[in-house]
Amino acid sequence: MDKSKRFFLKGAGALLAGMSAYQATRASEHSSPASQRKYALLHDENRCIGCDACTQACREVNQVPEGVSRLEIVRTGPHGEYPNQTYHFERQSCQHCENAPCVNVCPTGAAYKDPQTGIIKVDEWKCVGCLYCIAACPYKVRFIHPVTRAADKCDFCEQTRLSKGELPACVTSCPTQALVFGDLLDTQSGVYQLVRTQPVSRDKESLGTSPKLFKIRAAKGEVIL
Amino acid sequence: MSRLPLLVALVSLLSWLPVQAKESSSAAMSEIHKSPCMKCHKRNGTMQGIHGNSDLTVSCVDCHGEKQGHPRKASDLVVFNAATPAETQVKPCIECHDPQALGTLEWTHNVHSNKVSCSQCHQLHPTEDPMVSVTQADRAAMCQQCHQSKQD
Ligand code: SF4
Ligand code: SF4
Ligand code: SF4
Repeated sequence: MDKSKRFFLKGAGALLAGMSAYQATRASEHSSPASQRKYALLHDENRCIGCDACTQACREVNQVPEGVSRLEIVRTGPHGEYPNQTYHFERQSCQHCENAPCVNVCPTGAAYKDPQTGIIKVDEWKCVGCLYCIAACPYKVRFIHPVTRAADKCDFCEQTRLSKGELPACVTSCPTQALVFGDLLDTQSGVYQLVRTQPVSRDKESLGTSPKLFKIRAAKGEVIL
Repeated sequence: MSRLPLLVALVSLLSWLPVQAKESSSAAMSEIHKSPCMKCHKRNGTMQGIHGNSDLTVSCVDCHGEKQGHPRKASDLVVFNAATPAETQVKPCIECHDPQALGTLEWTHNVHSNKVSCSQCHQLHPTEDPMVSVTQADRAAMCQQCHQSKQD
């Protein structure tokens, strides 16, 4: 091994040791279970009308430039014959995986899970733009932000709304209340109640990612029995 | 001699320009306004929109139906407002406008088909149908005029 590489590895080792110590202190700081939250979002496809108010609100509130998006409503259809046709609308955004592949592959720690909220976040200044997370995310929702040049995606409006005690922009903009946001650890929350009582499903659960974007599937879809 | 084609081009360009302005003012003169309906419906009847174009040869009765006993006795005239069932209002529109083609152009046509009348969004009589210039935000706001959750 040549000298420069050895130096680099030694440095990296020191850096890693430093980082893990830092993470340990951070974790112990927030170790009181009372302050823990596990934010989740539910999209009721039966209520969704595909109006795109949510995608527009997300873009506006979070200053998401044209060409990239944190949220998309994917439309499939029409199903059926005129004049009784329907469409199916599916929400595509970060699933805030409990076991997040984007976090697992990030070499700098820029992609991380906030222990306070369970939100998967990005530390812009740590992101080196290596695109590992974008390749690893099974839901294809990450992108490089054209302005910050760092990886970006839905953060449940943590910076723009939650920090002010407000609900996410997409949730408040939805005219049909198809979106329900809340804390899964709060048994009184609407999202907890719905997840417990409704036939919810999650995308690509078999991958073991434990996503926190729940969906109530549309009764009318591609497969009509 | 070589300047002639240039001159012709210029003249034709100049003559083309005022045509645009003339079109709307001449809408009142188009064939549709020679209809006997206009004897009474001068004010509310003028067709300034594209359907008034004489080349389309659309007449009042094509959309509103035959006069029958109107105005004194019964008639099946179609009035494009909330009092008329949507299906009745949509019928004359789809005589010319293929529902499938409309759906391809804008998917919301498909889900509203004969359940919401065309006139609830579109206006034919004014010079320009307001739907031609809606922005994305206008569009989402329009959905909400009907699709508002009753909860809360
Ligand atoms: S959906 Fe993708 S970006 Fe979001 S937490 Fe999961 S792996 Fe990461
Ligand atoms: S929670 Fe916020 S960032 Fe995430 S999709 Fe909704 S509006 Fe966009
Ligand atoms: S705002 Fe609500 S109804 Fe409209 S597309 Fe988004 S989730 Fe669906």
